[in-house]
Amino acid sequence: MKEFDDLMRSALSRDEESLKPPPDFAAKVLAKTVGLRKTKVIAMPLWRKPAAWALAAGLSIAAIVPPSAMEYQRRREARALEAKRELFIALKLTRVKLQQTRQRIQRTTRHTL
Amino acid sequence: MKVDFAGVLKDNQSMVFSLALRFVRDRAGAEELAQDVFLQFYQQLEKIESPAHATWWLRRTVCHRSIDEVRKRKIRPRLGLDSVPEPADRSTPPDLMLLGRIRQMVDALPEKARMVVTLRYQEDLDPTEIADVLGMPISTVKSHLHRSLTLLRARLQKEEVCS
Repeated sequence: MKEFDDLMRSALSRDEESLKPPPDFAAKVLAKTVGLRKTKVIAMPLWRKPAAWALAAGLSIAAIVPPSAMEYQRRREARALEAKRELFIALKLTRVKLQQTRQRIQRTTRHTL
Repeated sequence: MKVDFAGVLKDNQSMVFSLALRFVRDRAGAEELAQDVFLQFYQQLEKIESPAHATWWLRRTVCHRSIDEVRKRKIRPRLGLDSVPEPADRSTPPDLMLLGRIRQMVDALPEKARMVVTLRYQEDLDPTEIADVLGMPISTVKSHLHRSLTLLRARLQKEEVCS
């Protein structure tokens, strides 16, 4: 049993030349970690930052919304002025009609008396 | 920072690369996998308590990644020039041929059994440590070891009888 274990250890030994990593293995890994750190901390693309998205959305709103809001307000005021003018005309007409009706009633009452 | 990455890399590159190579069986694939493991480790560096913890983490990760890689390929692992046996040479000492034959037999074991045997004899871990690294019950580790060794011994004896 011990003999077989030793045989297995010799067969699967890590010292075997073909199992050794290439000489530049560590250098390659270290080079990649430098890139990794940069990517993580410094070189994050602007379009991936939530703050950039928020800023872009804010600017879009500032650029698009106020002109349309002003236009809406202007139309509302114009409609209100038009309504006011029509109301005055209607009131004038009503006053005239009421006067005519009153005069007609007075005339009729006089004749009957 | 509790551990020095360059130091951990220097101390463990041989272990990580050799375990990857035993499984993936081509040097380019093993190198890629081993590099990935170290880069993953680099991102977890803050959580690593000590050099021993680093070795444990790397061993565990390379084992799982290697098993996953072999399963992902599904087909038999790519064979590199290194894995092609040398032509028979009368001057080669018989024990070297025997050791090569044992390696081939271990390579033919199912993934988990192969990893258990590799960790036992290449990394010299005991069954408790292997169970910890592979995240399996110790009884399963012992069972893998027992069955694999019985199989290997029987095959070797059969070959000896035949020759």
